[in-house]
Amino acid sequence: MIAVIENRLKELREQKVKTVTNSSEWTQESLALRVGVTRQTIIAIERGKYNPTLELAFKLANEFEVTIEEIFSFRKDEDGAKSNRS
Amino acid sequence: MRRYSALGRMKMEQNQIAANVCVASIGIVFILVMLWFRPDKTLEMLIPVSTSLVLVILISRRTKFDERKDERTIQLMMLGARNAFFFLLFAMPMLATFSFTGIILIDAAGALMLLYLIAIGIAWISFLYYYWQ
Repeated sequence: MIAVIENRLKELREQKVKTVTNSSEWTQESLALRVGVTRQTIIAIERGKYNPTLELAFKLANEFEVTIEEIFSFRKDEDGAKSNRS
Repeated sequence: MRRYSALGRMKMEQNQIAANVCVASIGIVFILVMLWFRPDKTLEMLIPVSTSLVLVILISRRTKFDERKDERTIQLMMLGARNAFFFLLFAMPMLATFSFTGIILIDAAGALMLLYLIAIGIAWISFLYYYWQ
C-alpha cells in the first residue's frame, strides 16, 4: 500500500491573492514569515516534495481560516498495492 | 516580523546551542588533559586550542544560518547526520581492518577509532537527553 498526502496549498494561496485587496500578504514569502518557516519550505509543500509537521499544518490552516482537511488530504493508493503484489 | 515566535522553537534552539557548547567543551577538556600529560607539546597544541576556542564562540552565537533554520532544514540536517553516521559505522571498522593488516599505522587508526566511539556516545547521550525532555 502506498500512502500519499496531497495538498491544496498553492490553489488556496492563489485564490487568496485574487480575492484580497492586498495581495502581497499572500506571497510565499509573507506566508512563510507568518507561519515561521522559510520560503523554500512553502515552495516544497506546494510542490508536494515535503509534508509539514502537524504544528505547521495547523498554522497554515489558521492562516487560511480553514480546517487541516481542507488543505491536506490522505489517500491510500490501492492500485499501487495491487501492482506490487502481482 | 514573525507573528509566531513559538516557545517550543526557542527552547529547541537553546537546547541545540547547549548541546553544541557541551560537545566543544568536551573537546577543550580533552586538549587540556593532553596538555597536562604532555606539557612539552604545549606549542604544538596552541593551534587546536585556539581553533576550539574560536569554534566555541561561533557556535554559541546565533548565526545567519540559524535564523533561516526551520523544521524542513532540521529534518534534512538530521538526514545528513544519519548519512555521516552510517559512513562512520562502516568506514571505521574498515579502517580497523586496514590497520590490522598493516596498511595504515596503528596510532592513526586508534585515534580515529576513539573518535568513532565518542561519536556513538554523543549520539546516544543526545538521544536520551532529548527523549527525557
